[in-house]
Amino acid sequence: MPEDDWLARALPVEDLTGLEPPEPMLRILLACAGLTAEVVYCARLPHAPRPLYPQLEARGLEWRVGLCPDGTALLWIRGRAR
Amino acid sequence: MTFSMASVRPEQGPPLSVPLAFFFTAPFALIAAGVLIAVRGSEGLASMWGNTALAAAHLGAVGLLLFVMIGALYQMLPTVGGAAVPGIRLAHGVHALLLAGAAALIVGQSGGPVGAFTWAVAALLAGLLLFLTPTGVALARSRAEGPTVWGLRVAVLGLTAVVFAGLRLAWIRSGAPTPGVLASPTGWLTLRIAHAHLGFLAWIGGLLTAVSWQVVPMFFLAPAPPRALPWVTLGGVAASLVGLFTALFVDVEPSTVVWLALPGALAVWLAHPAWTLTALRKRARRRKDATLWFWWLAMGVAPLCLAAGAASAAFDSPKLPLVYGTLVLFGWAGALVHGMLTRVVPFLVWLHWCAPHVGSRPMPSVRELLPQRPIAVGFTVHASTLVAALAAIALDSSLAWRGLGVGLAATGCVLLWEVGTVVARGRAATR
Ligand code: HEM
Repeated sequence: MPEDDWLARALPVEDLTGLEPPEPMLRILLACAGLTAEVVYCARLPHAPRPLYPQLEARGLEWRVGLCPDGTALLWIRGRAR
Repeated sequence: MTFSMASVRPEQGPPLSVPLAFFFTAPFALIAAGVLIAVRGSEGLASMWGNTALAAAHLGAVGLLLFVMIGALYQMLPTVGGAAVPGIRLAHGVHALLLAGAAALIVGQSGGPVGAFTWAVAALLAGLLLFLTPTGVALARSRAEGPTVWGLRVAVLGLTAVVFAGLRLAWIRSGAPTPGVLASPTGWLTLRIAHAHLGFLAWIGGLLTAVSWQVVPMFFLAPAPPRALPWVTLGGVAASLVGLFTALFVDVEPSTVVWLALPGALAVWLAHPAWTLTALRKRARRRKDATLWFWWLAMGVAPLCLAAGAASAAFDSPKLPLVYGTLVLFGWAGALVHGMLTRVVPFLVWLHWCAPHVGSRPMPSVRELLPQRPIAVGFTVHASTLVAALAAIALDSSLAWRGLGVGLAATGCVLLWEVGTVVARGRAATR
């Protein structure tokens, strides 16, 4: 998907798989405070973080989720381009 | 690294008021059961045929368990099933109808006017149709795969079956003509046993096992169940569901019904606790967590349910069915539901009220919303009340029964304190 080429930009992946809920969500929401269209945040989670999506939408962020064969999920978030 | 992109559509979860309305009913049901037993003493408690025993059993089975489990289903369907429940605002109507129906059922069963059963049938039927229709649509539409969503489907079918049988019993108790097959004492007993086991195994067992495959790994950072286990468990539960439901329509001996319950009982009270206890032993996070004690209690009691069920079927003692019902409703399912509420309510309040403010102002953590102390007190009171219940059945003295009544009411009050604390702290933080 050409419009998803920003996914390739996220470099460090924060590993949140060993945390109890809602700790991963807390970390992600705190990280979201500094995001712009240029700054991408990426995290690995134990599963797709469905309850988080409404929070990301309310903050006007753009996000993608990739499901890995081992059951974990990768989450990319960035601010929306104005 | 290979992965597939997932849908990122925000799920249409219910407003917080929906699960909370159902969850907050539970402590009041426990208090009502406690007051009923404390006031009556030993009257109507000599066997499961006694009116106080039947009313208390339904305060537990319906007032505590059914309400919490319906609230949990409304919450879980969009996240686990990926399917929004249509017309979610109707959930408050469902709550009101079930509350009225459950109250009428308890009035009828505790020896009140027979007409109460007619009101119970009308309100429970309306409430459950209003619940089952949209959730059935959501479950049928769900594209999610895996055992949990199948477990939810089996549990909802189990709910339909237990309610069908319960309403049939209540309808006849309301004075309606008794169909031929039920006119004999064994026909009536067959229906009662099938009804109770559809509730214990297909509805309660089906839902609690399906939910734990999801929440044990998630909440306790424990390993997921081995691939085959959920399907084997589900197979046992589904076999009992089909067998027991069929028994509602054909002329079978009560002893046959017991065999029909066996696959579900082995799955729910033996295979499931064996996996859960192993998974909890291997959990990654080892900090003090009073919620875990409820899991240990429930999983320890589960095999005792199997033993008590077998003993009730094998020996003709009026006390054994009381022990069996107490272990199932209060020691196993009741403890699990109590423990789950101490996890789920803080999580939901945090998600709905605190998460929107994270990053802009300090918000309490879930452990600050519900500290360990109230949970530990809740566990101590719940476990002591279970012991008091078994002692009351053994002693059958008025004093022991009244003591149990006080214990049940205290468990309800502590549960109310636990969930009330969360809501009060969540409100204060976001005001
Ligand atoms: C929601 C609708 C329900 C209705 C209308 C209902 C109604 C009844 C009635 C009328 C009886 C007694 C029959 C008699 O008087 O001889 C009964 C027995 C019983 N019910 Fe329910 N019930 C309902 C749900 C449940 C659920 C969800 C459970 C959970 C397991 C349950 C567990 C039991 C048990 C354990 C007995 C006693 C069985 C025995 O000792 O033989 N009921 N029910």
